[in-house]
Order: sequence, then structure tokens, then C-alpha cells
Amino acid sequence: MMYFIRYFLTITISVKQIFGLVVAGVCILYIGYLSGLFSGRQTATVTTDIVFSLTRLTASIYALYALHELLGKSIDRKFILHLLAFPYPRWVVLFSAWLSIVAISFLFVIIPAMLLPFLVSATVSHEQVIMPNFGLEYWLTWLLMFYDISVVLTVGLFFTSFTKTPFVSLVFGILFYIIGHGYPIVYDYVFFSDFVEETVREPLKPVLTAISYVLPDLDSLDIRYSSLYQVAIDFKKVGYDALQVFVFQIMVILLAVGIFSKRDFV
Amino acid sequence: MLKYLLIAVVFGVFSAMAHLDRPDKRQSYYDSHLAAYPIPIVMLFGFGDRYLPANFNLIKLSVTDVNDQQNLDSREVIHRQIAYLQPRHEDNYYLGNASLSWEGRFESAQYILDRAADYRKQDPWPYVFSGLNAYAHFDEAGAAANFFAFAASRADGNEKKAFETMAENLFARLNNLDIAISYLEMLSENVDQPSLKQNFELKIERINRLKIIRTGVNKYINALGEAPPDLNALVDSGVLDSLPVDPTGKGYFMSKSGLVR
Repeated sequence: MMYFIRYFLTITISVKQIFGLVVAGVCILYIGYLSGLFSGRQTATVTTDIVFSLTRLTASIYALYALHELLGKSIDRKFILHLLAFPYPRWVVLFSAWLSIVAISFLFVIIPAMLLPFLVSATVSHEQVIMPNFGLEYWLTWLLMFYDISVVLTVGLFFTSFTKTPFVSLVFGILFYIIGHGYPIVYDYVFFSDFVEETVREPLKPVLTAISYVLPDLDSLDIRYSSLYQVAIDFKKVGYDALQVFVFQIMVILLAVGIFSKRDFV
Repeated sequence: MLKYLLIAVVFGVFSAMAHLDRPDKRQSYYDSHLAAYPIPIVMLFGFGDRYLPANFNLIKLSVTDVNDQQNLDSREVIHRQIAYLQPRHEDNYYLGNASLSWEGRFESAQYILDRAADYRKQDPWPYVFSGLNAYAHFDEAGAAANFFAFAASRADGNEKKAFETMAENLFARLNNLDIAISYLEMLSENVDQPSLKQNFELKIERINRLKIIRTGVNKYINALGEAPPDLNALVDSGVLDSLPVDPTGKGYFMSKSGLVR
């Protein structure tokens, strides 16, 4: 497996690539800084919040795009046959590609994560009622966001394992990102808020219920409130939610491996 | 290399625009074009992220003219949505309460403050604003005192003493407009946006003129032993030389009991 991981990393990580990641990280920090300037009461919190959101979004899209470039196009152009000629099981190729992109995504996330506390301390001078916490909660938030990106990538891998059009994995990966993060909020809004009328609620019920059974709650992996507003983390709940997502991830990986192993590439 | 140079130029221009464009010049961008969408659409625009649309909508609201009545309904909906998606956002309860409660949208202002009070456990200010709203707009000194007592339980030092004192004194201060003026002055001092500041100053002037009318009504009652039939009676009876005009344009109204609002 190490051979393939080294191979995939070699063709994806280059000086230019790393420079691109640094530029992307700096751009995200800069957008966060500019957005924070609009806040009258909590500049540091808005800056941190925007950097969390944009890093997770761009890193997920980047990871899906890297998967599309690395594996999707290899399958489309039959280069994959060269890799499959090696005396290793097919799942090793698939899993190595996934691991390589996860490693690159880590680089994408770690740059803004490390620079953000310095940016906030350098640019925000006034005290807020609640200041963001850059301690353990901050790093746990990044850890779970990184895990979130790996889950989105897993779904992209699943689509790559069977689709004949490489772009499909990118599009469906992004769709999964949007629905996976957004449906818990829409579900609560439709069923438990006073804003929605019964006539609207009824037709949406079967759709949202079906989604809630099929997709994991990615929003539960987002614990930035603990870092932004100094709220204590409910480790039991977060651990249980992460476990549910992990089970989903394992199932999707097994499914992708199963499909990929039996796929006819010729 | 050219590609990176181009990216640097684009960000440079963006940065220069953001820095050169002061708040008073930003107003025209959103004049009468503020749209509010249902939460599922908002979530779609925010890529499923509850925090991103909350932040960007607040940026949008902060560059919107708060005096534009055409946008009032949209502003109300957006503030409520942000309170639903991200109840801990300090800018939302501060800006939302300031702009909605003084436009008579008390239910929405209170919803935003309630959400903030529930989720920001260390912050006394949502309760303070709730208390001031209860007292300044509804003359409900008892409810206001309760809110100040809650606020005191979350504060410490001088803030705690101040909230406790306010809670204690509120029961004895029915119909006192000075507290409303202090409240508006405090809000005005804490905002940068010139249009919002001007809005607060207009409201302070409105209340100062309201005090003149209330004093006139008291004089009328002392002289004639009954409440005036309408506000013009104050001028006709010679208690006031002329009836003060409301600078916000809403006008002054008198209840049957003689209380002017």
C-alpha cells in the first residue's frame, strides 16, 4: 500500500501545489479578516467563524476535485489499468488514493488553523463580552472538521468507484456536503419551529425523514460554538454523533471497495 | 507566475475597496433591495453551513439603511432567521433589537433577545435589553425589574451592582422617560454606523418632546382637574405655546387615561 500512497502523493504534492495551498489559506484568512471588520461587537469571533466555514468548504471542494483529477480521470483515460497491473488487490489502489487526498487535505486545513490565532491577536485589540477560545476546544473543532472533510471525500470515492463520468463524483460530493450539513437544520426548522405552517410541513415530512435515515448528521461534527463562544463540549453526545458518522463512513468505504473490485475497466 | 500576480491584484483591489469605502457610503448598495428568503434556501446559499449565511446576512444588514421603511419587513425576517440559525451572534441581538424594537416590532425583537439570552449564558446584555424594552415601551416595571435581576445574576463587579440597583428602583419609577433616553444614548454611543446613530438621536429628541407634552398634560390636570380631551387642548388652554412635532414623523397619541405615547 505504501507504494501507491507514495505514488499518489508524488503526483499530487509538488512545490507549486504547496504554494497554492498556502495562497488559498492566506486568502481565506484575509476574507475572514475583512468580514470581521463589518462586525461591530465581535470582530474576533466573526473572523474565526468565517475562517472555519470557508476552510471546511474550500478544503472539501479541493479534496473532491483532487479525487476527480487523481482517480476519476485515471479511470476515464484508462490509466488505472497500469496501476491495477501491480500485484496488489484493487482496494489497495482505491484506499491509497483516498489516504493520499486526506493527507493533502490535512495540509489545506492546518495552514489557516495555525495562522488564525496569530491573525486574531494581531488585528483585534478590543475586548468582547465573549472572546474566542484558541485552546483545546479550538483544536478539537479543527480535528472534527478535518474528519468531516474525510467523510465528504469518502462519498466522493463511492461515486468514483462506479461512475463512468468523472465529474459526477465532484458534483455529488458537493451535493452530499450541502445536504449532509444542511438537512438537520432544515429538519428542525420544518418540524420543531413555529415558523412553518402545517400545509407546508406535511409534504416535506417523507422527504426529510428519508434523508435523515440515509445520511449522517454532519452538522453534529461542527463544534465551533465551543471555541467561538466558550461553551462546554458535551463529549458524550459529540462522541456518539461522531461514532454514527464513522459507521456510515466505514459502510460507504466497504461499498466503494466492493464495487471497485468487481468493476470492468476495459 | 502571471496567474498569482492576477490573484494578488484582484485581492488588492478588493482590499482597497473595503478600506476606502466607509459605512456612510455603503448605504446605497442595498437601498430598498433587501430580500429575505426561506431558511431552506438560505441554507442552500450557505452550502448547508448554518454559520456562513448568518454571518454574511449580518454583513448585508450592517450595510443596509436602517431608516428605509421598505426594508423593514425583510430586516425583521432576516434578524429572526439569524437568531434561529446562530442565536449566539452578538451583532444580531444588538442590531436586531436596536432596529426592530424602536420600529414597534416588539415580538421579533423579544424573540431575538430570548434566543440570545438562552444561548449566551455568560452575557447579561440580552436581559438588560429585554428589561429596557419592557420598561421603555410597555411601562412594565415589574417585568423589567425581573429582567434586570436575571442580568445581575450573570454580571459581576460594577455591572452587577448597576443592574441590581436598576432592578430595585424600577418598581418605583413608572412612566419615567429618562431611562429610555439613557438607553438610547447608550446604544447611540456604541454604534459606528452614522445612519443608525442619527436614527437614535431622532428618537432621543422624540422622547424629549414627549416629556414636554406629558408635563403639559400634568399641568392641565392640576389646573382643570381632568385629563385634556385631546392634545390640541393643551395649546387651546394656554398650557403649551405650541404642540411639539414628532421628529420621527410617527406623531404623539393620548390614551383615555391621559397617558401620552
